[in-house]
Order: sequence, then C-alpha cells, then structure tokens
Amino acid sequence: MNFNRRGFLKSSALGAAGAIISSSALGNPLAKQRQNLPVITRKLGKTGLELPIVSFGVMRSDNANLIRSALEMGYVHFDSAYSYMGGRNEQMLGEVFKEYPRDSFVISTKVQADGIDRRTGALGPGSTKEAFLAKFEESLGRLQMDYVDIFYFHQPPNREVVLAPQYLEALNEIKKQGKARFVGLSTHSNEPEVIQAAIDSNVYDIVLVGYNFKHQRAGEIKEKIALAAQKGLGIIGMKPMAGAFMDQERQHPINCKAALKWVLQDPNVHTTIPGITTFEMLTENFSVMENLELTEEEKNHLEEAKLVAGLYCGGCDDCTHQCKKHLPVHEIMRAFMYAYGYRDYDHAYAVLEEYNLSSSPCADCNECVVKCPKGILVADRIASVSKLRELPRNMLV
Amino acid sequence: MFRKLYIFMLCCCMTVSSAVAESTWFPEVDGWTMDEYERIYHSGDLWELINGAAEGFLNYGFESLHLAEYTRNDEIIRVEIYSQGSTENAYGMYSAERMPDYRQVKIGAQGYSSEGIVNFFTGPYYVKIMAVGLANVEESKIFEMAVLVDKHLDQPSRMPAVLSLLPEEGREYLSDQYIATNFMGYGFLHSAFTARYNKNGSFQLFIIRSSTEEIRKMLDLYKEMLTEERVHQKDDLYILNDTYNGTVFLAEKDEYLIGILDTEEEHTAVEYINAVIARLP
Repeated sequence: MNFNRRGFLKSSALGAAGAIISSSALGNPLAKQRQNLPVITRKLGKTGLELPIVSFGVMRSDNANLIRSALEMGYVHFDSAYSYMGGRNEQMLGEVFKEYPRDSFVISTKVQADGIDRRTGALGPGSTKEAFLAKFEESLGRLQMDYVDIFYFHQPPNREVVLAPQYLEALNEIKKQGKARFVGLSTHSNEPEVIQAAIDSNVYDIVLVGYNFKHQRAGEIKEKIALAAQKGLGIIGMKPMAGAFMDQERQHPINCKAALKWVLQDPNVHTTIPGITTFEMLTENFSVMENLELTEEEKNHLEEAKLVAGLYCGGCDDCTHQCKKHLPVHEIMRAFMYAYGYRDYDHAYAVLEEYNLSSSPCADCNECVVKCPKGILVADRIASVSKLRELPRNMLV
Repeated sequence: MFRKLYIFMLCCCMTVSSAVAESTWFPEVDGWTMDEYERIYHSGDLWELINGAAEGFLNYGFESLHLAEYTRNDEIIRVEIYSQGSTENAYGMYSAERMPDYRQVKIGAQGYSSEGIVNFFTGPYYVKIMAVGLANVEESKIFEMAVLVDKHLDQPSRMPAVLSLLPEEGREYLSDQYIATNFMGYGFLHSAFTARYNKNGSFQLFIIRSSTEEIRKMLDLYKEMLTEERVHQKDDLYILNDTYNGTVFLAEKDEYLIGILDTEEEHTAVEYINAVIARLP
C-alpha cells in the first residue's frame, strides 16, 4: 500500500497535528519535500496497524531533533526499551513526544523480566509479575504517557519463559487496562522455539525478531515468521543491518540500505526498526520506504558480505557431533576467533586449556568429516590455533 | 615451518604483553565465593549478553567485558567490568546511562546507586554491580562490593579534563555527557563534551577537542553541508542556521570547537563561549 504522512495524519483524525509541532521541525525543508511522497506500508498482522515498512530504532539515539525530523519526514513507529541508555532513551522520547498529538505516532517499548538465569534460561525466585509490572510502569512514567502502542516482553529465552503464567497474566492485564494497545515479545536467540511459543500462547500480538542476511538461522526464522504471520501475528524485524560491519574488527562497513532491503524482501516482515543516529541514516533509510528493489550492486555487496562473515564461526555447534574424536569444535573455532580476530592469544589459550586440548588434536585422524554449514575449513583452523598449546601460557600474558 | 611459528610466537608476546591477566580483574572477597561463571566478552560476542545495547558500547571504544558472579548463601552479586580503552570513553558510556535522579555515591571517579545496583567509572573502566533480579541483597553489601572492586582496579579517580572547561553557572545537574560519535546527528562531528544550561532559557553547550586539523575539518564539513546563506560570521563567531538543529553558534579556538545550540539568544551564546575560551589551557 502506498501512503504518506499527510494521509496518515488525516486518516488518524490528526488533522490538527501540525498546530503544536515544534517550529524547528517545521523548518526542516526535507520534511516539506517528503510529505507528499508515497511510502510503502504493510499491515501489522491482526493488530490492523498500517505502518511504513521502515521504522525508527531509537536505542542509541539521544538527539531530540533527529526524532522531530523523523516524524516530519514520515516515520511513524519509534522503538525504545526500559533498558536503553539506562532509561534516558525513554525519557528523551517522552520530552519530544509531548509536543505531538498522542495518536500521531506509534511508540513501542520493552521490559526484560528479572530473575531469569542467564546461563540456563530458567525462571528464578525474582521472576514475578509484580516486578515486571513495576518496570513497565516506570517506562510509562519516563515516556510521560498513559499507554504505549506496543509493549514487548523483552527477550524471553525459551518456551518456558514465553509461556510463564505470571508474564502472560501481566501482559493480559496491561492490555486490559489500556496501558498497551498490543503486546508482543522480542527474541534475540533461540528464535524458532520462542516464535512458536508466541504463536501457541494466543496472547502475543506481535513478534520482534532479529533477522538479517547474515543470520545463521535465517532460513529457519523465515519459515517460523511465515507461520506466525499466517496465524495473524505482526512481525517486526530488528538488527536488519547485521551489525553494520562485515568483519569483527569493524573495518568493512555493510551497505545498510542493501541489508535493510534484504529483510523487507520477505513480505511477512511488516516493518523493521534499524537503529538510526544520524540525519544521513534517516534519509537513506527513508528512501527504502519508497523503493525496495535491490540494485545489482547491492546484491553483489550482500554476497560479498556473506562471504566475509563466513570467516567467523556463528556458534551453531552443528560440528561437534560430527567430529569422530568429539572435539569441542565450535569452542576451538571461538579460540581461533580470539587469536586471529582479536589477537587475544591468552584468551584463545584459555579456551584450549579448558578443554585440555593438545597442540595437534587431529594428529591421528586421516580425514576430517566435519562439514561446517558456513563452509569453514575446520581442520585447518584447529591445526593452526592448537599450536598455541606448545607455548607456556605465561608467555601470552 | 619453525620460523613461521617463531614469528607467530613473537607476535603473540608483543601483542598481549600489556594485557591484564584474567585472574587480576576481580578481587577475592571474604565470605563470598566467586562463581565459576566468569566470562569475557569481546566486540564479536558482546551482543550475546546485552543484545542491541552492545552497539552503544562499541561506539565508545569497547575492548572487553569481564563478568563474574559472587555468591554467599542465597545472595548473588554480579560484577561487570567494561574496559572502554580510555577515561573519556568509560565516562561517555557511564554518563550515557546515568539518570539525573539516581543517588550519587562516592566511588571511582563518579558513581551512583539505585535499587539493587551501583554503577561507576574509574580510569578506562565502566563498572556495573548488581543484585537486582538475582536475589535480595542489602544495598550496603552491594556498595561494599563496589568499593572492593574499585580498590582492586586501582585507577586514578579523575574526571576527563575537558569537563573542567564547562562553566558552572546555570549548568543543569548531571547533564554533562561525552558523545563519541555522530554528535548532533552528524557523522563528521565526534568527541563532544556537552552539558545543558538554564540561563535566559534552556540551551546546550558543547566542547570538541581534537587536533587543530581535525577541528578545522569538522568546521569546514559542517559549513559545506549548509548552503552559503545559512552560514554567517561575526568576527570569530559562526552563526549557523542548521536545517535540522536550528541555530548553532560556533567558535574555533586552536584544538577546540565550542558551540551552543537550542537557543536564539546570541548574547547568552557569546557569553558562554567566551567563558569556555577563558578557561582553555
């Protein structure tokens, strides 16, 4: 669907919006230029919210003028969280948005539950409904709002936590009280399981999922997203820029526009929340709202970026069970990354030592049967990094 | 082959000789057991722990995160030491997450406490100590742990020097910050110390310190970005009609770029810019 901000304001009964919009934003010629240009929108599942395909991930932005300009250009949906910038992120948004009619923007925030064991993902004694609701109320206070449009359970690690009764009760209560129009969850790991649990719950309206061209489990996530969308859930993509760099050393930037377009080629992704910290990004991302087609140059760039990303182990651990000697292959790949990626030889050594590996753990194997899904030549890397074990550790510190 | 290994070894030794050994990051604390769960995160895997928030740390020169948990009976205190590479970066990340209404406590170069947490920075380290969400631990115990960690890290407790150039009059409490990248929403402006003021209305003052060449480059790029009619000069003062940020008053002085935004009051802007210039070394 094509759509522009002026149309959105009209359809949202916000005709008078401009009356109290800050003068600095109105002076923005880019805003005036953009107002009449059509942008692509998609419906956020059964919520019925019609959003432009690119939204604003506010996480690292502390410039109020960036938010004002975004509103003027045609950005509608802004995403924050209880934890971003220790709460200052929500506070800044609260200060900006009080200048605008409440229904001229869509705001989402997230709260992470206390008391969940980071190692095992198990619920602990601190994981209560009350603690969760208290944080949500704090978020509303910082935002200076009576309600948010979307409230997410931030990063439940597994099915058990997604479906924990205390959180489902809290989410239902928030929705019933009108403090959130819609509720959802965000998932950064274990995505297929978490998304499936969200589908099964009949509580969550929206899934916010890390999804990009470099993601190790992009194929699985794509399938699960399709299922969730079919069931009427709204799907919002995060981390679309895949870390913004091809390499761990952050020397080779990713073409962010191409990465953003890649995510949005999937029609089941209804909008995305790339992090925006400059006016340049604001403009560039906006252009994706107008034209989603990947150019040949962008396609080539993404192919190259995928190859470079392949230098690094993604930690999927598909390899360990393949190894005849049951070596902890993905741990050794981690050691390789420390040694060759970060030049942290002591840390690499510590990993090798932890698993009591010799300096040539593959010596009595004739052929390596491990097939890395990323195509990493596992045997070569093991041979290379294991040589560290020939050195006394104190030489590395 | 042997020669190759020798070079590799030499390279290893040179690279890590200045690194702090793993075991020296955390103090031993009487009555508490340091959990076996002690982890180190680097730029490539920090996101596994803190997700998208990792990007903020990376923008402030993140080098590594050392994380440990101390346990005593049912009590658990988690200690996170973010090594940010410089005092400026540690302060920048610390101040980015500091809310003005948190209770200030005397620890490190500066610190605060809130329910179940003590956060502070000292030297190049941003330290977060927390019990919240894990178990109920008295605040005094968390603070005691923070003091021990601070002492163990043994860094000079000083604020970044540029902060002393900010005038006191009218400065809003704990509004000072260091923005390492993308200041004012521009990729070409970086390394800015800033604070908000209230005098004849609210405004923001910033000071960027860099080499004279870099300062000149930032100013030139800024002027180039705006059309000519948006740049006015009165003696040493530039008045920029910024498309996005409104009126910006700027002055360049050797290794410093000093600016005021969010006000139209030229008189106030000049007064504060001059006050900064008067304090320059």
